[in-house]
Parts: sequence; C-alpha cells; structure tokens
Amino acid sequence: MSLISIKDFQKEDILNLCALAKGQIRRRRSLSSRYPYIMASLFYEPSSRTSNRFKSAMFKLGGDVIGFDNAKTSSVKKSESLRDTIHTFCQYADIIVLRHPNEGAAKFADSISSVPVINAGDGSNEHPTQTLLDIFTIYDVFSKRENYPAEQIFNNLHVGVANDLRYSRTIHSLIEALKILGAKVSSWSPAPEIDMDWPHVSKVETLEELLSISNVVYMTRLQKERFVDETLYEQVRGRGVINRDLLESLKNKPYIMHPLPRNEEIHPDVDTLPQAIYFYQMYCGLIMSEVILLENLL
Amino acid sequence: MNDRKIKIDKIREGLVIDHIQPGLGGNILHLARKMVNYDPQYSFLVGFGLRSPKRDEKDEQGNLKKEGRKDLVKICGHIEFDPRCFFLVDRGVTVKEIKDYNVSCNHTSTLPETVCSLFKCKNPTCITNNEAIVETIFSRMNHDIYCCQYCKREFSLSELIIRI
Repeated sequence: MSLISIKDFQKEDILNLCALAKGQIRRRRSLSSRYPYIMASLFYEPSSRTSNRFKSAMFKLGGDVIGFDNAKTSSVKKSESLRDTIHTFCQYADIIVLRHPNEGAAKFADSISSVPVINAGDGSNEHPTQTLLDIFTIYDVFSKRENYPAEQIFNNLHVGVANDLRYSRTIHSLIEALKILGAKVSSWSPAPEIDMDWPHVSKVETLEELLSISNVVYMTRLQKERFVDETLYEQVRGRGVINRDLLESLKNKPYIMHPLPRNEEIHPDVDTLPQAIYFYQMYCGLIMSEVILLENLL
Repeated sequence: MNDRKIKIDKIREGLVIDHIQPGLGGNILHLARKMVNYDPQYSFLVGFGLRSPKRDEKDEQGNLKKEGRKDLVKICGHIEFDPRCFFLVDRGVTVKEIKDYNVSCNHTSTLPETVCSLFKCKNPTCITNNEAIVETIFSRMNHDIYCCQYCKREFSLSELIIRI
C-alpha cells in the first residue's frame, strides 16, 4: 500500500492512523529485527524536516536508510529518468519516500514501483504526510489538553488557515483533510496574488478576526521564490505577523501551528506560550512517520 | 455538373463519422488512425469538402440551409475503442457504428468520461510533460472540464491540445 494523496483517505482511515500514532507515543512499536528493512529516501528537492523526519523514524524503528538528498549528487545529474531511478531503488529498498518537483511524480512512481511509495511532496500538488502529522497534532492536543472525545474532535473544531494559500501545498492537503473530517475552516491571506478560494472555506478580512474565531490557526510562510514581482513581496511580508501582544489581547486564544521553516510571520516571543504547538508538531511528525512506515511495511 | 454527387462506399463493419466541420476531417482521420493503434488491417474512406446542408444553419422555414460543405471519415474494421473520442475534436459530428452494412448504434454528442493518452497537460511542471512515456489520463469533472489525474489541474476542453 502506498501513500500518494490525502484524497485517497476516508475519515475513518485518518482517525485510525491518529489512534495508532497515539498508541505509538505510549508504546513504541518497531520493525522486526529478523529482517533488515531498508527505506529509500529519494529527495529531488532540498528538504531538512521531511527528509530527516522519515530518516529518524526509520532509524528509531530499527531499519536502515539509503538514497539521496540532492539530485545533483545522484545519477539524476546524468539525466537518469525518474522511471529508471524508481525501477533501480525498488531492487534495493522495501519502501520509497519520494519528493519531486513535478506534480504527479509520486502517482507515476507508484504506478511502476514494486514497493510502496510515500509521497513526501510533489511540486505544488500535495504533501499528504505533512497533513497527517498536522491532523495528528490537532487530534493529540485536543484530546489531551482540551479533553475532547476522540471521535468528535474535528466536528467541533474551527481551523483558520493564514498567509500564502495559493502556493502552500501543505495548506491544499490540510484543507482537503479537514473537509474529509468535517471541521469548519476559515481563511485569510494578505494579498489577492497568494489568495485562493475553496467552496467550503469562508474568508475573513483580518488576521485578528481569524485568530479570534478559530480554535487552531495554521500559519504558513510567504514563499519569496513564488513571487514574480519582488516589490509585491516586500509590500506583503509584514502584513500578517502573530506576536505575543496580539495573542494576549484575544479573549479566546487559538493554538498556533506552522509547518516550518518560518520567516517573520510568527514572532519568536510566541514560542514560550502554551498556544505555540509548532515544535510539538515536529514531535508528532516523527511519531506519525513511524506509524506511516509501519503501516506500509508490515 | 452541379447535380453530380460523390458517392462513398458503404462499409460492412466499422464507424462512420459524418458532418465533420470542413477542415477538421484530417484531424479526425489522424485520431482514428491513432485509436486503432495504426493497425494496417484497418482501412479508411474519407471525403473532404463534400456538399452537404450547412450544419446548424436553418432557413426561415426551419430547414437546414443548402450549399454547405462537410468532411466524412469511415473506419472499416472491428471497433474496440470509445467512439465518443471524436466529439473531443468536433462536438457537431455524427458517429454511427455499422454492422452488416446497417447502423447498429448511433452515438449522441456526449464527451467521454476518461481520456487516455490524447491530451497534452497544460501544466508545464506536470510529470507527464517531464518524464518520457508517461501517458496522460484526464477525467471529466463537469460539462467540458477535464482534470489531469497526475497533477490534478483542471482545464476546459478548449484549452487542451489533442496529441495526435
């Protein structure tokens, strides 16, 4: 079984993975010590978090890792096709984790691979493993800190998504997952050039409004490289900043999430507030990666 | 001279694509050859610029206007593909399946739900435009909107180019 798109999941599948991840925190399962499982980590684009998250998860499960983090140091530099690379690594590894700049690359890889393929990001299309870790973070925080019953967490949840809505693939996948789970979603973006419409997502005028109506606000960074006009980037960059003063002025303080890396959209003085869960998100990511590997390997 | 008509033979088994907009007959023929995988066992009868009542243009009495032109393509052989693919090139054509010289099925102008290996994806960073031998798959979303099953981008039929 591969993991290509969040759209392939139903509500029960996502909640089941969250329950397994919750169990993984309590009692760490690992891979069989009799068979040396190997993960091929094929990253055609730079990544520090996703790449290392899966590597760390594989090591913690007792497996090993091969592959490359930079296409320039592999045979890809010699114009090797993705097809040939996948066919080759199928022979070496039990599972492939793939990040590729072209949309649909993971689906294509899965169609020719004899081992499971995990989509770790395909162009601006999807990043389903990031979404699963985001969903698990919400699941864990709201069941542990807010005592929500597990099956009702998302029915009673209002999630705000903010900043770059157009080019953030984590946002695209997250909104799909929240739709599947039945959560209410609102959005805010600082400029129409990076805004986006979804039929089931309501828009608000200001970041303050989004923060005041949401249980969780998911912030993203502005991707400078996506702006054709650099002056527009300079105009927009300071418009949406969450800081301690802003959060403390709110009656109902939402939890703040961010896929990281961040620029200036979340001031470091927020880091020590209990609402800042973006580093806990990284821990949840490790746990969810372990569960994804276990579920796809065993 | 004006009363003379070109007669194109009846076919025993196959497909008749008639009332093709003049000039699009070549595209229909190319598509037909592609759909039968360029198999030499199939033969084709074609007529370009044939005299025909003008398509979609009616006079005051509601009769089709005379003196129009049309193209016609007949495919001779057993048909195993979805004949609705010809509506992708020209929505106004008539598509008839023939068996034993008679019409066995008259296809109405409906677009196919799935289109494989015909469209070129408009998204330059889609894997189908960056990796050799990846066949495109498009699914119809609604009306004439098709979605690339690799990059999930949606395009209207008029935006998509048919790779023949």
